[in-house]
Amino acid sequence: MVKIKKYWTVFKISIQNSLIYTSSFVTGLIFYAFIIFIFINLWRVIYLKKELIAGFTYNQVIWYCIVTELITISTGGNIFRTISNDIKNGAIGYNLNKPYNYIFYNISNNMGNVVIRLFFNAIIGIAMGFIFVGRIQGFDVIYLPLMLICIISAIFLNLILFSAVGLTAFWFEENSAFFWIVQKVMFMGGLFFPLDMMPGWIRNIALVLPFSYVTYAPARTIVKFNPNDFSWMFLIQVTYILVLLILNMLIFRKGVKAINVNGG
Amino acid sequence: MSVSNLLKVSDTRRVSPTRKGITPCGVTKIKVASVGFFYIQGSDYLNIITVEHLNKIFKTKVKKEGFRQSVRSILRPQYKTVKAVSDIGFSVQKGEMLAFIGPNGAGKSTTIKMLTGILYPTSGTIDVLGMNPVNDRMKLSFRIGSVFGQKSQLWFHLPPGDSFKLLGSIFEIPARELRKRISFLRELFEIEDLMDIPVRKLSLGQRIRCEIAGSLLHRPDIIFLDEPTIGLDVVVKQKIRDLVKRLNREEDVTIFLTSHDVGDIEQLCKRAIIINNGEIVLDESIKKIKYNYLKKKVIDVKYSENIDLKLDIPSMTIVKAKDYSAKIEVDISSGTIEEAVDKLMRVGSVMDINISDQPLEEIISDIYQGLCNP
Ligand SMILES: Nc1ncnc2c1ncn2[C@@H]1O[C@H](COP(=O)(O)OP(=O)(O)OP(=O)(O)O)[C@@H](O)[C@H]1O
Ligand SMILES: [Mg+2]
Repeated sequence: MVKIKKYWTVFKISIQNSLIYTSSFVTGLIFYAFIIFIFINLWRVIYLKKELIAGFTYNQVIWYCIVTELITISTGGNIFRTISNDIKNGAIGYNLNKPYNYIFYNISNNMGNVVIRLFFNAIIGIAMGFIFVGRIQGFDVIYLPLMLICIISAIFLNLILFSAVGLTAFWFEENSAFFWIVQKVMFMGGLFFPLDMMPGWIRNIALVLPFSYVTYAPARTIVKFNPNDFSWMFLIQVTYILVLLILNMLIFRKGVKAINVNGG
Repeated sequence: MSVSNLLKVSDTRRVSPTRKGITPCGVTKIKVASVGFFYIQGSDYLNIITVEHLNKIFKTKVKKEGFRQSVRSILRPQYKTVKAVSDIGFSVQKGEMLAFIGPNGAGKSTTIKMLTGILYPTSGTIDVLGMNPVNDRMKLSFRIGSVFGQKSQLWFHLPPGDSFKLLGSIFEIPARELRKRISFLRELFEIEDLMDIPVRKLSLGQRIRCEIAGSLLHRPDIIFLDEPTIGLDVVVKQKIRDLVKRLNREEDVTIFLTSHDVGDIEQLCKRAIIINNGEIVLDESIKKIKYNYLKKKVIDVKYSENIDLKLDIPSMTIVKAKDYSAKIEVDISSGTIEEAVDKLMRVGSVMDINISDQPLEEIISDIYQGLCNP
């Protein structure tokens, strides 16, 4: 119990901490509102001639983008940068002589910031959605908690993915290229539009990769909610979270043996 | 166990009578009238750090200038190796305050990092509190503390108060105990007024006091101090030395100290290990170092009249001479004190004379430079 409690404390203190440094999430907030505004206008033009594209209505596509952007912008890339920098400048060594799991520590330390951004972004996103397209078609308030779970687990998955990419700094000095690639793959994995609008084979590939469970799968589940889809999606998300966590631990354990802690 | 052995052990292993408590296995705690408690060694348990044939070789990629060279370095990377620690061995006993000293780049920090599990050794064995820092890193971290003067371990953006709370739960300290411990350390280190100021806004001296306090929250058995007094003013330095001494006495914390300030070493430690170029060149009690390596005595002399000091004895050199007084160094390997004093007495009427040892600082610097042979 105390083993888990420590991460909870890290999380709580990181919330306090991000409330002090408001500038980071205010800029994120503005960026988020701007992106949503662009999507609203872009999709309106596209939907002028059609009611339905790949099974999505205008309303659904807008809410879809609100959700995907909410997840990715709230998550940000801090965890990747922190871990890469810790490894490159040797600060990681000073994490090793503390009784915590470095990966869990970083996730909880990031979660504070993420939760705060998620909260404010969600207010803006939901407000914009309501104003421009009205509530999600067929929305049932009973499912709201499950929708929240979709988003939280997507964020977890995203953080764990980025932390794995950060850990490559053990071997690659310039690992920001990997981050860039992963980000672009996530764009393809349904950040801007549902994978249903892609050719079938791309969609099939994307659906077996973890990236689509950060954006496409949770967003689709939310705009076309049914408990069955949700259960499947959640199961796959959790599986990927566990698999990637184990991968993180393995990379970390291998990397730690190779580190040189600089200076002093 | 013979009586002499017993006395020898008890001499160095005194434990404060105020610290009631746990007797380590294999060790008998006995009370000797009027003196206090002693621990008697029943096994080699009291060696809480043992290092054998420890090596650390750093391998760094060599980066060359120019495009062609950098392409080549991707295809066939060239490595430069640095032997930072070379086949060292030593042991530290419980309750000891050990100075681990040496010139810049000698391998002190590297050794500490290996002892605390921050760095993997290239080869050799390390035993700290019966654990191997590589395999039992986490378990070991509950029982040791470390302070690196040049690297803050507190959260930069957080005030020390929050950092302590965070450390408390990381080290799984029960809430009530943590509160008590924080208020104790807060008072001891005189950091009450700093608890709400983000660490990045603290002065160096303030920060170091918080760092040391933070490293003691979980009541470690050993604390590794890597240049804790670097860059501090005289008063703060002294304060930190006093605190370290007190912690050693009251909580029986073993102190593993590196410092370039001989004052730290002289005031705190009974024993010093000197390391140079990754190798241990000396492992001796400070007393013995002074005795064995002392080559010079210093004579301060004051005359009642203005004198013009001229010395023709080769073992004597004038360090300073002004009006009525002079400072003379006597090389006792080539001359005697008697001869020197005799000479000085004859120069004029002496008002005051004071003979002292060469400062430890000079002795150590001579050892660093390989000038001293016992
Ligand atoms: N990460 C590293 N990569 C390569 N070489 C290193 C690394 N860290 C230390 N070294 C080298 O190892 C040697 C010992 O360094 P170390 O930091 O242990 O010295 P030190 O005794 O602590 O010196 P100082 O008194 O200056 O702090 C030095 O030659 C240094 O250049
Ligand atoms: Mg050092």
